[in-house]
Amino acid sequence: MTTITDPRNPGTAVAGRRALAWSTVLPFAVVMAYGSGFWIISLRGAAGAMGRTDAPFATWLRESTLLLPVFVLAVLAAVIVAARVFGPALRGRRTTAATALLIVAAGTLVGAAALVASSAYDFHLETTQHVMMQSMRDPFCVGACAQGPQHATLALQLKVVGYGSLILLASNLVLVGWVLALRGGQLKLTSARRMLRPGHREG
Amino acid sequence: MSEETTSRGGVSRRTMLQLGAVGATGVALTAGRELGGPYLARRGLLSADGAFAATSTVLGDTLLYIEDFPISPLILYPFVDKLLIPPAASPVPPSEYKYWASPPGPGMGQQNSLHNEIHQLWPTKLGLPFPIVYKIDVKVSTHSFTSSQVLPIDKDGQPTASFDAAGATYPAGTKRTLPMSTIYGFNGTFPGPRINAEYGKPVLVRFENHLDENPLVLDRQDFGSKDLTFLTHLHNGHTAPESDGNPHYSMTAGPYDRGYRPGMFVDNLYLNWPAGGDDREKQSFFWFHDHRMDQTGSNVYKGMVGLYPIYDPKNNLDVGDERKGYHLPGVRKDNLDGSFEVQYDIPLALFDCRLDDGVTVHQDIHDTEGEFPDAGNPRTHPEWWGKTFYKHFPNHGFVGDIFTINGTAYPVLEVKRRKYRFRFLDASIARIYELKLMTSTEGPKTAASLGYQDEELEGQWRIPDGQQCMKFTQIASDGGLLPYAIPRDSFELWPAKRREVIVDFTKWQDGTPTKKGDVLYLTDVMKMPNGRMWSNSSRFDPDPDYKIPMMKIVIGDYAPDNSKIPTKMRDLPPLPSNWKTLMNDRLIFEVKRGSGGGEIEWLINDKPFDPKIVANSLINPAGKTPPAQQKMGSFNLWEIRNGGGGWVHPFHLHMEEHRTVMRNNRDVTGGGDPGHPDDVSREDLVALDPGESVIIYRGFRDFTGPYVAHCHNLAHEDHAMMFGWSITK
Repeated sequence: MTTITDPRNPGTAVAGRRALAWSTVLPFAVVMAYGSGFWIISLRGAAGAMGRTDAPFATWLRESTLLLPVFVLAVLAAVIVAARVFGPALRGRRTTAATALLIVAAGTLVGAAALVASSAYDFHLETTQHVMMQSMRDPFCVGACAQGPQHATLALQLKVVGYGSLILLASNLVLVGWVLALRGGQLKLTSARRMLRPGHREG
Repeated sequence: MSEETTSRGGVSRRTMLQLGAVGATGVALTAGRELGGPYLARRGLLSADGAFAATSTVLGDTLLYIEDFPISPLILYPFVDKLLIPPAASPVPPSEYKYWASPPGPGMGQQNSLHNEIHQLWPTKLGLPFPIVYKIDVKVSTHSFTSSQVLPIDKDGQPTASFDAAGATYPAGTKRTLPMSTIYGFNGTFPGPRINAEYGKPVLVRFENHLDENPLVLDRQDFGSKDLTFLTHLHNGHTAPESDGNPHYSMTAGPYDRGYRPGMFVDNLYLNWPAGGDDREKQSFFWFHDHRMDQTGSNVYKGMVGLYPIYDPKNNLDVGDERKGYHLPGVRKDNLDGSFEVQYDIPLALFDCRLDDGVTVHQDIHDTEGEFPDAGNPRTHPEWWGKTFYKHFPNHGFVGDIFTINGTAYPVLEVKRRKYRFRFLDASIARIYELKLMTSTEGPKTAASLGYQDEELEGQWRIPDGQQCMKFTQIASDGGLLPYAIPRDSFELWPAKRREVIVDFTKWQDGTPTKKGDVLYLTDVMKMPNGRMWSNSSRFDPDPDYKIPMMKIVIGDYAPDNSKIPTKMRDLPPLPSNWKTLMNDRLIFEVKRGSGGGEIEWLINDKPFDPKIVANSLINPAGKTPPAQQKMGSFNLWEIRNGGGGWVHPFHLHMEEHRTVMRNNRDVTGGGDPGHPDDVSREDLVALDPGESVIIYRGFRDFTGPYVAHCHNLAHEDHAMMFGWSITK
């Protein structure tokens, strides 16, 4: 278990170290993982390589679940940073909003990284397919003629990454806001049920 | 801030936020179900995978593949130009062709100018006479879709500036005359010649490439096969591969190329002999069109279309003489040159196009591949204002906004008060039509004047008060005459499909007689804003405001009429009683959208078209992936699946007609699918609604060698939605 320290009261015994509130970390990680997965798979359906676009629903379930631990780590990192900056108990809307934005940023970073990896793989597959098709149809198409489609493919995948990152950001803002609202606008960074002795470290 | 201090009227902020989140979720779910559900269902996307496909489509359309199409100038005076009915082509007399440098004949090397092919089955082997010979030159020429003045309009339907080839700019509101569009045409016309053929009388057409000749120094613009090759397919003649004009053949034999190059000729032999010699396999309306690999759409759109009605003189059943046989409308006149005309029997080739507005950027994946470097794309082409605009690789598919029949936009046809036989053909790239006969008291109005914009301007004219006034009596589909006539309020016409109908102009559908001067309109009621699929039609979410008058029909004088609406015509070839035993070993082909390099590819069984090989089936119920090879004389079941994505596909199989036996896992051999009434006829094109699966029964008779099957949305066909198959000994 990870523990955190209140920077504003480093000397106080009770507030010194607390257990992380997994009930905060997990919901945000789950909605962002499956939300981002939805957009990544949908973008792949729009511009991805053939062979990676079959059974999108099952692919979404599988890949989102695989990405979930990374999202958990990202949210965890955001929560730790927030706790160190704002203290374990958030006071006021500003600190809550700032923490939520940190969570959004962390989730978007992970989602964007996954999108970049997916697009890079698509580009590799599509380029291979292009070379194959070109050789099949027009063996005299070399140089600029052959490079044109590759450049177009690259441009397309860059568009996917650019627009996709913005979509992920917007999606995460909505999802994190929604979870936050479901929680009544309150974020707990530490568990109130379990107080730890000063100096004790778990995990 | 404490919870208590934010309390409003006894409800805390926390509770309000929670209620808000739950409420928003509820609203989103309800709206999604109520609004999104029906939309997805119409497109076959009401499933978990479908939701992803729909999202992918929206993302692609709104962010990744943004494309603009021009708004054609408004044709100000429609329904003035008379419907052009291409006259019957004249055959070449033997006294002339026997002196050709390479006369047609059955010998080795006589089938083409490369002298490397022979006709697989010369007519005499079937006891048929020497073929009637035609010569068709494939030429660069010009075409005008209308003689009317036009008003250039923008996407809002408002007058806008226009341009000309000399670099002049004309201010908004200036009425203009359209420049001629450059075409590649059979004998230089669009549509090309009409060959009236007859069963039992083979035809040999020498197609000769003159596309390199450009005596008028016409601007070829930026579409049409770049290397000026052509390949002509008689759709769907029962022909040997060397005369079939298909890329699987052309790349593996004969020209060993995508098509025949300038200076070359090919003799396509059309035996006019039914599959297996079975009279029940006789057809009635073919058309010939270009089939050059990767450029079929651009060449067809550029004009390479010809008509080929075929009559059946056996027992005078359908010989073009309404006094005989089935008594189908037609009065035959034999010409001295051996050709013949049939009055009251009219082919109608439907075709939609767009004309350049001079401000739309020409941009296409083919620009990156070095095609048409002189065009300097991507850029606008004001010098091409008013000429045909084509986008070779559209994300949404290509549809036009001007509707033409036999090459004329919004023509008028004066008919006698009697019955007519109309042979409909959809020669469009992707547009599907649903046709009705309608009257209008107020007459046509421009879509712009009715306040429509953008895609709603397609068709240019509407008859808002249009009412159905007559019925069609369908007598034939792709595969020829039906067993019995079917009364239809309307019928769909998919790309490359043919439908023949009888219309009785002596009375309205309520039985009251017509009189001279009465007017009605052939009207399209299927809204198809892009090449993906319809947004509205009679089958799905009809739009009562979408009534596009395509042709004005004016009723004239009485004329004698010896025709009848037949009660019985041609029997279907029987299905074997045990056809279901073939189900496990059927061949399965799935058409779907794929991706590849900056643009989208269209694939079959996840593979692009490879012209040099035969494709393999997906794993069938027997656990095998058999190659698409059939023994000559065999029959089999093939399944064609629409892989989804919210597209419809008109899937065409060369060489023999088929019979649909199952649609969406339901036996339809006795009819049963109201959306596809033609399933009980013979066809050569499978109409695949979104997500549909169709199993067909078909034969592989008389010839051996390579053929193809492909989507006849020509933008799909040109981008790899095709596969090779073959018949072996």
